[in-house]
Amino acid sequence: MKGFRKYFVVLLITVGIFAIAYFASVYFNNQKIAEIQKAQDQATVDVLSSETQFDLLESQSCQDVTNTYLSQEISNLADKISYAEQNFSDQTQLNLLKQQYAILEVKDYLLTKQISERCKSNIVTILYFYENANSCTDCQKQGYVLDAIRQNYPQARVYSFDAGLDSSTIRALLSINKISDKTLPAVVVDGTTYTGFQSLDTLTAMLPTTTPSTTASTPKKTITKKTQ
Amino acid sequence: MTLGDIITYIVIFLAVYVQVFFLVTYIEHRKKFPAIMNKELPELVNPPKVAVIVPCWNEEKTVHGTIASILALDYPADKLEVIAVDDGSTDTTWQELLQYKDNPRVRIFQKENGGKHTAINFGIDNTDAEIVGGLDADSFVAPDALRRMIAMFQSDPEVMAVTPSLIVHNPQTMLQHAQQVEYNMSTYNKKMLSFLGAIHVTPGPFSLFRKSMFDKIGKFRKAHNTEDQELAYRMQQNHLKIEHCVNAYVYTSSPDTVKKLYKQRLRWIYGFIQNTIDYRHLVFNAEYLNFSFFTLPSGIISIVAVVFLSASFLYDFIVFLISKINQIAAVGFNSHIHINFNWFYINTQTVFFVTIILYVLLIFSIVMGTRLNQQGHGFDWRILLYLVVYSVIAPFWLLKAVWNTITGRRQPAWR
Repeated sequence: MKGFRKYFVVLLITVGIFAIAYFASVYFNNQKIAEIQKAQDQATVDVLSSETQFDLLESQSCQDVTNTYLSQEISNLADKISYAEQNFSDQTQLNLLKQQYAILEVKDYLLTKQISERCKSNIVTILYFYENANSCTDCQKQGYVLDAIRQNYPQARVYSFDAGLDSSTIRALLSINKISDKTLPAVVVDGTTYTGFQSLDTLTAMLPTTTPSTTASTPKKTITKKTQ
Repeated sequence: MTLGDIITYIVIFLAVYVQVFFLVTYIEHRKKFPAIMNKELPELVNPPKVAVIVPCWNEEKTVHGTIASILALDYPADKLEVIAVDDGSTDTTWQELLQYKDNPRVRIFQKENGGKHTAINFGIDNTDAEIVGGLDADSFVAPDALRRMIAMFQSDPEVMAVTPSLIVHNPQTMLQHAQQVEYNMSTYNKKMLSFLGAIHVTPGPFSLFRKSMFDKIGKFRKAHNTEDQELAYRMQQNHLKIEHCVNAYVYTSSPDTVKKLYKQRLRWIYGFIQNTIDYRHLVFNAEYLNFSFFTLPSGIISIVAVVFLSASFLYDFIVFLISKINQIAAVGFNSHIHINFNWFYINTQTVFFVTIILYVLLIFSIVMGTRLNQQGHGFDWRILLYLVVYSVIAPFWLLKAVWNTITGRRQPAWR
C-alpha cells in the first residue's frame, strides 16, 4: 500500500479491534447484569419468604422460626453490587438493583427485630448509612470497621445503605433516625443513632459479650466504595 | 468516564495502532521472508574494499576478541582492513593494540580522548575503503555477516547504509535474557521499518555505510552521545536509503546489572528525545512519509504511553496504599483476605480486552523477531521474563530521560 492509504487501513483495523473489544465488554457486562438480575429474582423470593415468615411469626413458636436471615444469594448480591459499583460505567441498572436491595434489607431488618423481641435472641441490628463520594473518607474507614464486626461477631446484623441513592425507603430511614447528608457516616445500633466515624472498639463495646447466635450467621457484605 | 480514562484509551489506541501498522507491513512483505532468511551465502562479484573501525576506550579485555572476529570474517583478506582507534584510553588498551602493529590487515591509531564519534571519524578520515563501518570493542561479528551485508549494497546502488541484527553475546543473567527478547523484537521492528524506508538508528555495532555518503552529508556528530541515531536522522533527512540485513548477526555485550542497563537506556532514550527535538521539522512532514508519520511519532507515543501509564499506576498504587493504611488504622491487622473465583469478578471492561490484544500483537512481534534472530521458534519463558522485567524497570529510565530533558540536565557519558 502506497502513501497514506495504509495509515487509513490501519486506522480502520484499529477501530475495528476497539469495536470488537467494546462489544465483548458489553456482552460480558450484560451477562453480569443478568446474573445480578438472577440474584435479584432470588431476592424477590426471599422478600416474599420473609414476609410470609413475618406473618407466620404471630402463630408459630420461636423454635419454628430458625431461618429468618436472608439467603446466601443476598449476600452474593451485595458482593456483586459492590464490585459493579466500582467497575461498571453505566450505573443506571445498578441503582435500581440497589434500591431493591435496600428494600430487601429493610424487610429483613424489621423481621429480625420482631424475632429478637419476641424470642429474646441476642441479635444486634446495625444500620449503616454511607455515601460513595470521594470526600467521605470516614465512610471508607467505617466500612472496614463494619466488615470486621460482621466477620467477628455473627450476632451482629449489619444493613448498609447508600444515603445518596434516590430511594424513598432510604430517605424514610434517614428521616426516622434523624440523619442528614452532613453527618455521614452514621450507624444506628439497636435503635440508637451515632453519627461520624465509630471506631471498632466503640462499636464492639455496644455488642453483647455472649457467644454467637445460631439464628444469625449469614454475613452481609457492607457495601461501600473501598477505593475511588 | 474520567479524563484519566480518556487519556488511557487514547494511549492504548495509539499503541495498538503502531503494532497493527507493523503487522500489516509484515503481511504485505511476508513473501519476501524465505529469500531474506536464505542460508546460502551470496556470491560477491568484485567485492568492494571494506574498513571496519574499532573505537576503543578502555577496552583492554575485549578488544582482541573484537578484532579477531573481524579478521575471521568470510571476506577477501585484501579487501578488508581493521582500523583500531584508541580514544585516549587510561588502561592498557594501547599496549594491547600494539600487538597488531606488524599485522598488514590491522592499522592502529592513538588519539586524545574526544568521544566515540571522533574516534570513528578519525578512522573514516584514514581509509580509502568504499564501505566503512564501526564495531564497538565489546561486540563480535558472525563470519558470514559482512558478505550478506555487502550483497545488499551491491544489489541496490541506492542503499547507503546496512544495519545488522543484534544478539546478546553469551547471556548469563536473567536481565541479559530479557534483553535478548528485546533485541529479537527490535530485529523484527527494524526489518519492518526498513520495508517502510524509515529506520531511525544505525547501531554502533557493525552498521556499514558507503564512504561517499559522508562526503555528502558529513560524518558522525556528538549528538547527545547517540551519534548512531543522529546519523540515521540525517540520512533520512537527505532521503538516503538504509537497509536492514536480518541474517547478518552481531553479538554484543549487554549490561548484566540493572544499574548498567539503566545508564545505557537513559543515554539511548535521552538521545532519542534530543535528536527528535533537533530534527523536529521531520515530524509530520509529508516529504518524509513513513519516517515522519510513523517512526518518530511511534517513538514519542511509546515514551508518552509509558510515562502516563506509570504515573497512572503510581497514582492507583498510592490510592491503594492510603486505603490500606485507613483499613489498618480502622481495624488493625484484623482484616480477612477475601478471594473470589467467580467469573463475575473478572475484569470485562473494554480497556482490558484491548490490552490483551495489544499484548498478543507484541508477543507476535517478539516471536517473529526470535525466529529472524534464529533464537528459537516460538513462545518461550524469556518472553514473559521480558514483559515483567521491562514493565517494572523501563519506566524509570524513560521518566528520568524525560525529566533530564525538561530540566536541561546533561546527558550521561557514552560509556
